[in-house]
Amino acid sequence: MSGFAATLINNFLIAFGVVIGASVFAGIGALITDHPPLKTMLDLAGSIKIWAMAVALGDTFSSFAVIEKGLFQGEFRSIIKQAISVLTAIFGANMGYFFIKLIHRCGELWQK
Amino acid sequence: MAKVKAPLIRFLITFIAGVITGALIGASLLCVFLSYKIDLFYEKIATLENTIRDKDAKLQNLEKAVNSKNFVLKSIETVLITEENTVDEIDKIDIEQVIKEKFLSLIGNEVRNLDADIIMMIIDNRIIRLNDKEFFLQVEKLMLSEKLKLWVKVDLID
Repeated sequence: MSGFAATLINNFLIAFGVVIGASVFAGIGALITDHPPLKTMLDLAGSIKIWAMAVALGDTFSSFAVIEKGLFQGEFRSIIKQAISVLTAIFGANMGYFFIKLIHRCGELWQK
Repeated sequence: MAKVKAPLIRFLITFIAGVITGALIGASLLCVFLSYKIDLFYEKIATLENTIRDKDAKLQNLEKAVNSKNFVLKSIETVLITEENTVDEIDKIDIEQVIKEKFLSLIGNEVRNLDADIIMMIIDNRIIRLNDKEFFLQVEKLMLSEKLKLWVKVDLID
């Protein structure tokens, strides 16, 4: 597998894992602190998406450096690669958020 | 002795790691599978608490007006109009509670002494802050009789 494809898979799974992990453990925290767990999970998953993306991309300054290089030195290929990385991270974070929403939806379905 | 101790320590470390891993996985699964049900219980508790609070306030105000045969305001009902998936149930219960609290002092008052316009202005075009979120309230309809019924549009402000 090429290095770029491996990076994309990593980005996706890191962003996905950050949202899922943070939400589930926030849910456990909510149970301990006497708050509604699923509401806490949903609220947190919604607000943490952007941070999950930043975590997945890791060294954000290098991303800016690549974009700058692409813009001013005409290396558009690296800009496109960087854009795909960012999009994959966004996709991963959103999939994590939809997974938490799916738990809510499943709960609704089984309750009826 | 060292030979006996080393496997024991190895076993202990592995055992403790296993217990912690199991506890974390168990807690996570429990949270995932039971969270919806627990949320429903929270909603139910909040609704029941609201009902008790309303009934208490209603009783208190009606006790004052018990001997008068006038047409008095007896209860308050709110209907929240929201866009789908923007405001969750627990927030809705809290918003209803905030709205009702603003009108509780009106219960027991004569209906002819109440001004519908002023009642409407109490919550119309207001922003309320609840659970780190801001909601914009707009009164769409108001019905004033023995029961004060309000149709309130609620928008979540990002």
